[in-house]
Amino acid sequence: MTNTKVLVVEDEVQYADVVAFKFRNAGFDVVIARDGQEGLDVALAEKPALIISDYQMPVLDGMEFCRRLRAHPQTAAIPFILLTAHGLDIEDAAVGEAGVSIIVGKPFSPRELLAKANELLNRPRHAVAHSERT
Amino acid sequence: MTPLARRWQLILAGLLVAIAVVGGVLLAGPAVGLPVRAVACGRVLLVLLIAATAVLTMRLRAALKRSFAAIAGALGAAAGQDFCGATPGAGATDLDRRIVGPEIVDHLAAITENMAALSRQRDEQKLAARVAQKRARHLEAVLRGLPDAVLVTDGMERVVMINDAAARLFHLPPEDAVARPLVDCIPDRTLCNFLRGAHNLPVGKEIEYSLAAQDGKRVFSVTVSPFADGSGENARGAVTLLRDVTRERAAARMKTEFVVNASHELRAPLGGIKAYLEMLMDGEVQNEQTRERFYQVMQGEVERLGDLVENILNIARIEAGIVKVSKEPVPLSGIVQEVVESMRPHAAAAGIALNDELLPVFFHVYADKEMMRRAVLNLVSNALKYTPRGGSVLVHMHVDEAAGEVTVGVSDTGVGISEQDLSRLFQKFFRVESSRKMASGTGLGLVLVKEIIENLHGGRIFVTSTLGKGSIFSIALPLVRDTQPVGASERTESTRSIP
Repeated sequence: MTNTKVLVVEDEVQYADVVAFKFRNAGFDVVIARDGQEGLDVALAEKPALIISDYQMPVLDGMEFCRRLRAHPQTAAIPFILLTAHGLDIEDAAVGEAGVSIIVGKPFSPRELLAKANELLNRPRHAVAHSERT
Repeated sequence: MTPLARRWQLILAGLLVAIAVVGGVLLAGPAVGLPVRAVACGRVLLVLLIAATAVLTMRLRAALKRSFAAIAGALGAAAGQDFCGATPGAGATDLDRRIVGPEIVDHLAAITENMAALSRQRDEQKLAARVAQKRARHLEAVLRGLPDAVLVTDGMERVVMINDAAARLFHLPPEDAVARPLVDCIPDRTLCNFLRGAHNLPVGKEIEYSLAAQDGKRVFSVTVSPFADGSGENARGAVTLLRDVTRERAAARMKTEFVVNASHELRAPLGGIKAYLEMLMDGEVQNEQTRERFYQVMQGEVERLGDLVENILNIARIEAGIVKVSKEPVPLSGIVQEVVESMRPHAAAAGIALNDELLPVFFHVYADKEMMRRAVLNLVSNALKYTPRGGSVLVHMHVDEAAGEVTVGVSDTGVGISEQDLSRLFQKFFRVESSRKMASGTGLGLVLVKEIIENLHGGRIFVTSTLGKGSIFSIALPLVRDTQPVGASERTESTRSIP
C-alpha cells in the first residue's frame, strides 16, 4: 500500500524542511515545490491527497495558486492548507473566494499542523472545500 | 459797537451835517447877500469836508474788508479750506479789534477753536481709517499667505473670502470666487454638502477628506466653524479650514507598517526555532546527523533574530541622535570576507551563487569594525533577498589610490529597482512595492547602511539598477594611507550625534 502523498509549497527552506520532516516521520510521502507555479505543475503530475502551501511566495502566491487549483477539474477537490503570517486578515478571501480549506497561522507548531492535516484527510471529500476556521 | 466804530460814525455824521450846513449856507448865500469872499471860503470848506468824508469812508471800508477777510481766513484755516479766496493762515490776531469789537473776536476765536478741534478729530479719524485699512490688508495678506486653505462664507452661503491655497485647491481665481455661491466654488459634492448650513450650527465640525490636488490625491483635515460678527442675526457666516495632513498620515501609516513588518521579521526566525525545537522535544529526530543539522538551523535563526534586533536598535539609537562609534584602521577586505563567508549558507539555501573578488588585506579604512560589518552584511543580505533562485551575487572591491578611496560593490542579478523607487530607496520605512512579496523586510536596512557609511564614516553610498536585470550597491570609503604603526593609542572612541 502506498503512502498518502502531501505536496508542500514553500519558498522558505526552513519551513519546507520542517513540514517535510514531520510529515515523512508520520508516514506521508512528501513532495516539495518552491512557488505556486511549480506547485501547480507538481499537483497536476503527482495528484497529492493534501496540499500545504505558504501564502507569501514569489511568482505565484498561495491564494492565486489555490484559485488555479480549484479551476482545474483534476485538482479542484484537493484539501488545501494555507500557511500565512498575515493572520486572519485574509481569511475571508482565502476560505470564501479562493477555496482554501483551512488557514494555519505562522509561526506554527508542526505537531498541530499534522493534527489538522489528519483531521482534514479523514473527512469525506465533499465537506473539505467548505469554510472551516482554525 | 466798538468805540472806534462809534467814534468814526459820529465823525462821519458830523462831517455830513457840516456838509449839509455849509451847502445850505452856500445855496442861500446870494439871497442873503453873503460876501463873495465868504462864499469862496465856504466852497473850499465844502470841498474839504467832502474829501474828508470820502477818505474816512474809504478807510472804514478797507478796515471792514480786512476784518472780514481775516474772519474768513480764520474760519478757512480752522476748516482747512480756502474760503472766498481768503488768505489761509490768517487768524483772529489779524483782526482789527477796533473795527469788529472784542465779542466778535472772542466768538470767532471760539469758532476757530471748535473748528480746529473738529479738524483734528477728522485727521485722527483719517489716521485710524488708514491704520484699520493697513491692518485689514495685513490680515488679508496673512490669511492669503497661509499654507492651509481658508474659505469664508456668509449666511447666504456665498464666498466672502478665499485665500490662495483654497483658490489653488479648488481651481478658482480668488477675485472671481468672491460673492459666488459656495456650491459653484466647490465641485466635490460630498465636501460641499458637509460645509453647507455650517453657519447655523452651534459649534464647528471636522472631517478628514481626500481631495485630488495638483500632485495627486491628498488627505485634508477639514474644519468648518460658524461665526457671528456681532452686527445682527444676518451677520452669521462660516469659516472653513482645510489642512493638508497627507504627510502626517503617511508617516503614521509608515510607523504602523514598520511595527507590522518588524513583527513579521521577528516572527519568521522565531517560528523556525519553535518548530525545530518542538520536533527535537517530540523525539522526532533519531539520527545524530539530523539532530546536528537541526541545531545548526536553530543557531542560524537565532543569529538572524539577533541581527534583526540589532538593526532595529541601531535605528532607534540613530533616531535618538546618539550612537557610539569606535574607529580604528581596519582592513576592509577582512570585514567583507567575513560577511561573505557568513552568508554562504543562506546563498546556498536560496540557490544563488555568491562570488567574491576581494582586495589584499593591506588596504585599510578608518572604521568602526562592527558598524562596517553590519553595513556590508545588509547589502549582501539584501542582494540575496531580491535575487531569484538560480541568480548570482558578486561582492567585488576596487581601490582608487589617486582618489584615496576604496570601494565595495555588491552586484546581483535580481529584480532591480525602478528609477522612481531609486530616489526613495534610502527613506526610512520605504519598501519597493513590487518586491514586498519577494521578501519580508523592515525598510530600515538601507537607511542604516547610509547612516553608517555617510554620517559615521564620511564615505559615500551609490546605487545603479536596471529593472528586471539587477542592481549594484556600492560603498566608497576614504583609504588610510599609512597604517603603520597601528597602536591602541590611535584608537578613537566617540559618541556623536547624527543630525
